[in-house]
Amino acid sequence: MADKIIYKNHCTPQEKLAFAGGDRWYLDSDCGRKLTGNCESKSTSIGTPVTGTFSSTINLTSVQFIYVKNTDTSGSDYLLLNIGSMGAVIRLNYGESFSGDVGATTSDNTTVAITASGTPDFEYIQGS
Amino acid sequence: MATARRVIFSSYVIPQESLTSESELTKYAIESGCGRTYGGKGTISTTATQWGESWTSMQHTQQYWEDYDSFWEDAAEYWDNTGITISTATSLVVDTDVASTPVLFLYIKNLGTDSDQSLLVSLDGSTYKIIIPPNGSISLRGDGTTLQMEDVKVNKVTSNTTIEFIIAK
Repeated sequence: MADKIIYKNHCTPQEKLAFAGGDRWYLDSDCGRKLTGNCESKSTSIGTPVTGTFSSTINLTSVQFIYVKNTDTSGSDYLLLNIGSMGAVIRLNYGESFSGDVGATTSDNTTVAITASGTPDFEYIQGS
Repeated sequence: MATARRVIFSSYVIPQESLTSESELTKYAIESGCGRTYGGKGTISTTATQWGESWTSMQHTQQYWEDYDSFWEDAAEYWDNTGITISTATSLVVDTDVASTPVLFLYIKNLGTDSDQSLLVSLDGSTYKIIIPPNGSISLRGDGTTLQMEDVKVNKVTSNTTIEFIIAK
């Protein structure tokens, strides 16, 4: 058996316009449309999904694909992802997830460190 | 004129495994260890007045300044939707006035279609550790401090490719 991972990232930019009858949200006029991507990961091996409640830094190695979700349904606790020790981090509020290929080349892998503010619940899948 | 802006973003992951039948046909099914698809969704409130006209690559070069305060549906100019070509290390934000401004939301789509048109992304301005396959994209929320406008750079892996993006404060 061979594994493959299909993933999509989508966004809908919106702007609020004021009207006498009340404000309304519209598709952002600077962007003009929704954006979406759909691709197959370079990863060919899928790790077992991991779920839990954050208690200490999670250090993942040999990562080619990463999916991480803050599975809290409300609240202010959030996850932070540091991919490849880049320094700048990605924040995941409740319900949000990040998915993407990582590593410096189409065959390379790297590290992912997951930290948090508070003790959010999480799930992640590592591809390699 | 917009009184507020926001971005609704989501990701969707389909883990699959190949299954070969007795007739040697190969089919893909949900990977048995995962057992389902995965995904998440969020909303980011961004600033109504963005840092400049280049906060999104969708702002076409034919746009007139006079149109900026009008409604999108009233603008008659066309946009050819060719994306921005990436042939070398390229900063998404070249405006030095906002170099240290935190990035609240980032979306990048690789418009390349050939297998050698992957795109590299750096979130610190020098180390490229995220890679976007052809037709793929990433969307993420910055942490409000470490990810700044000057940090976001992209580069080709092998062949030139094109991108579209949103980088919002």
